[in-house]
Amino acid sequence: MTAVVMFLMLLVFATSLAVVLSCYRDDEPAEVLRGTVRRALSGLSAEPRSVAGVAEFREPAGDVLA
Amino acid sequence: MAVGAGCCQNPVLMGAPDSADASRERTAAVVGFSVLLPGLGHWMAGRRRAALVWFALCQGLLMLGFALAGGTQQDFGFPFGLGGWQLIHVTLPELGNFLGTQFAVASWESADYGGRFPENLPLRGLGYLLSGASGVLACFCAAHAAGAVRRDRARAQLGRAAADTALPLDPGKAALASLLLPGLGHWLTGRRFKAKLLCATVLGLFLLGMVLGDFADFDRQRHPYYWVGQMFLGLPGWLVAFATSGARFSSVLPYQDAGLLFTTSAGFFNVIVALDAYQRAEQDLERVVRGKDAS
Repeated sequence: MTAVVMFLMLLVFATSLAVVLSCYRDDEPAEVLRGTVRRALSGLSAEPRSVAGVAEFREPAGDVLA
Repeated sequence: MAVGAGCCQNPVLMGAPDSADASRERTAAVVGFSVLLPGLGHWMAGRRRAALVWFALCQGLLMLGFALAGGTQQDFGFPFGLGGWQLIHVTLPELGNFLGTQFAVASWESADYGGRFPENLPLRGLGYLLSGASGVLACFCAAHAAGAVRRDRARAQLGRAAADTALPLDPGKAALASLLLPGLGHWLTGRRFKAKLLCATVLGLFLLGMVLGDFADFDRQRHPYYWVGQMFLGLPGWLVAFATSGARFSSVLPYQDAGLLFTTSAGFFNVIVALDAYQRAEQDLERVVRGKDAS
């Protein structure tokens, strides 16, 4: 149950961030929606890994901010 | 000679058509002086009435806030100096109203110093809200002054055509509208879709955060660092904070940290929303000027 709630909260936060970024980058509604979906999915696909004991996040394919 | 009269002799601050570099320099000067003292940028841009209104609003809120909270705002900041000399007092977000904050900190001794009881300040929460709002408004005052400068430049560029051209919304007003309600600046510039999307996103994230924190996580005493970000949500956030000022955590909540993250992020997201509203309104102004140039 906790994992589901945590995932939903991650989804909400990733989507909110994607909406704000997309609105900042684009002005047309269709572009904003397309950018939101792309950025939200990119954000969710970031995989944590550990390098020499330091947690890092692997960059998803492509530039999330582009 | 009056300050404003002197400034109007300065070619950097005059409203004549100027190069992009000169315009940037002029905007930077107005923003810098606005942050130093809210209203000073407007005064230099020749907006005397707006200057007085901004000055009175920001300083009035700050002083009333310090009076209600017994000057305890400075307990959340720290002195900054060099070699034992205290130069400034850093208290966020009040520092947006830079000189006013330094004056207030120098004038008030914190009521909590000397072991007095904080319960003696029943309106402490309202005091924090007012002084914090003063700092946030001072930041937006700088944007408003910069927008006024940009609008003056557009009028100067249009020349005689300015009289019969309906100019789009002032960029500074678009940014300021985002402080009243996230997305309102976009709505006023005709971007209805983005306005609704941004309003629902920012307010939705904020309210979800408040629910996760049992409506008790907008509290400066408990979370002073998160509180700085939450204050940038603007009027809706201030009203919710005032309405829930008596709320206390009944237990350790499972997603309290997520609630704090959401509410603080919503505040910072609103800064991006305001920046975007400013930028889009500025683009609209640019489009009108270029359209007239082409015709």
